Amino acid sequence: MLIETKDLTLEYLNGKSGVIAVNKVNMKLPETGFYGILGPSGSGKTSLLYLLSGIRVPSGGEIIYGGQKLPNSADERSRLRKREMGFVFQYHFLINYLSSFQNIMVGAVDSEGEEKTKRLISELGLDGLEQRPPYKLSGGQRQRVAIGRAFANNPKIVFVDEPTASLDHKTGRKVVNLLRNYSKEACVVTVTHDKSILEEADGVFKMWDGELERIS
Amino acid sequence: MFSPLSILTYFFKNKRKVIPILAIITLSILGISVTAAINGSMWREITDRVWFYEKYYDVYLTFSSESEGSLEEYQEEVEQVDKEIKELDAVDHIIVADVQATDLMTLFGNEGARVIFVGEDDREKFVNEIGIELDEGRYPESADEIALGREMLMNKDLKVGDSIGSKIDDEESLSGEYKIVGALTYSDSKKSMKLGIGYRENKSDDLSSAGLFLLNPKDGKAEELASALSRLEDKYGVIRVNTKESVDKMIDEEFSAVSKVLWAINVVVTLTITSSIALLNVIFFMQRANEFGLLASLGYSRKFIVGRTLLESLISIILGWGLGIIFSEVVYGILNSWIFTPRGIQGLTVLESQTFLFTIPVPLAVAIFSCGTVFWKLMRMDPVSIIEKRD
Ligand SMILES: Nc1ncnc2c1ncn2[C@@H]1O[C@H](COP(=O)(O)OP(=O)(O)O)[C@@H](O)[C@H]1O
Ligand SMILES: [Mg+2]
Repeated sequence: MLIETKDLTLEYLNGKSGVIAVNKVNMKLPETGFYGILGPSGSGKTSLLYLLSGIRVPSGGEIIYGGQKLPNSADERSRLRKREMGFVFQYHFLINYLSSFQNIMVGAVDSEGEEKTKRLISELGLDGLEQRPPYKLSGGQRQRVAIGRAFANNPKIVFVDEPTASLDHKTGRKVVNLLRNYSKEACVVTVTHDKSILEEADGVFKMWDGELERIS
Repeated sequence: MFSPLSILTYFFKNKRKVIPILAIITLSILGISVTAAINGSMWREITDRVWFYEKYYDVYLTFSSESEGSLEEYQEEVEQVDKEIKELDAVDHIIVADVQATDLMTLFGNEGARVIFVGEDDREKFVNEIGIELDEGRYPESADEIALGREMLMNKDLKVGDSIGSKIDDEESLSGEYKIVGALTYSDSKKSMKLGIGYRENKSDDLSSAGLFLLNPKDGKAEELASALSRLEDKYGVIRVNTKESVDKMIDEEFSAVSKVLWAINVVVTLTITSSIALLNVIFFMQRANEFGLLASLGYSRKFIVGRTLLESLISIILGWGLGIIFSEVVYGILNSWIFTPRGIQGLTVLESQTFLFTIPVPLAVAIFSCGTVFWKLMRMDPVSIIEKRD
């Protein structure tokens, strides 16, 4: 198993009352494959991804990544994320003064960044758009640049938050196909409330009020 | 190609943000250095003028030798001082001279410059002691000839061969008429030469018949001589004394006031410029909050993000300052060749320790302000809250 959680819990403290966004989640994911987490808005999907990627610290339970507990120190978790993980945020956050090419390279680990980026550009169908800044790209193109950035460091695991939410059906389809392709080499965890994109997933989880359950 | 997060990439891709900051700093360096540069020019003018007192102290009568009445009245006293001066132990040699003044145009109105009339026998000693050289022509050989400093000639728009004096020009304070036979410089060519040398016919070496005693102190006895002279000045009302110390004290008093005003201006301008640039930096920084949050979320360390941002600020500030120095020097060069040099006035420059020092508070304060705010904001930044917002 690449990643495994034990009673993983995240509670947000809003003043006096707390919100349990992730509630005792137990899940296992192998080295490769396309996995989906389905659930309505507010069910805790994004929070779960933040925990798995080490962006947030759990309030309970633990995460075993590559056989070891995810490090406690924020710096070490950052380093791990930079080297071995990818994240496609829901709002794709490209750096708007950089070109597509440079935005993808931001995700790379220095040494082989340029070669890898060139390959990603053509795999993602972004040829000819290398020098364009994000504000001159369509939503789908931006989404692909964000995906490129997530894969630029040859990650072991990639987290994708609502990849199709802001795309039309056809573009969404294309994006999902790309992710599925990359899942042959890495573990891709996609969060969505759109069931249709998980038809060919290797595994699907359902999330509800912070609780997670495997449904296929 | 530069790496996407290198500082050069940021500068090239954000010219519209970087250039205004560079321009403000550059212009502010000019603005702030101009007062100091003018002050510096004045200061060099004056130190050149009082260079003389490194070698000779003045003693002269408080009344003119032409007003016969007073001379008779104080005859005894004058003879007594004359005797005491000549007996002073700390004196190496005395040059008996007459003196006149001629007006020069400066930045702040007219100022008198001296023409010293010395006897032929004294001249060589006098000239060597002070380091005066002939730039053109020769020294005066008769009472109607004169040699003037090169910068003096430029200031008056005269040349060797011209004549000068009240007989020719009503406004001229040099009385009589003289033919200019030589142009003088200091052997240190950076000094501006605003001294004239005339020919003294009178062979008498009595204080009563001379306009001026120039006293050259023995080596290492300058202070001793100065205090001896000031004692004489106190004792006898009939003489005035100028020594290096008294002249320096006068200059210090004048300049310390000017310098205080300049620094006050400097502080106000620095604060204004600093706060506006710092504000700009903070605005630009806010606009980049997404970028910083994103980088942190992607796993870039805070140290990297803070370091990169601070370095960006510092480089643009130092660059602006460097450009400011170059730009100021260019502007001053133009002003000098246009206004200062033709009038023989020491020109403006920013490359002089006092003026240069004056330009440092701007970049320094901007750096502290900008880096401080950026550092503070970055350390408090919560990357998760940023990526949870829409862009
Ligand atoms: N930063 C936060 N502070 C407090 N509560 C939060 C925060 N982020 C999310 N929540 C709450 O946690 C729950 C799960 O949110 P989220 O993980 O965003 O769900 P999803 O991604 O499935 O929409 C929601 O009730 C939400 O209001
Ligand atoms: Mg969400």
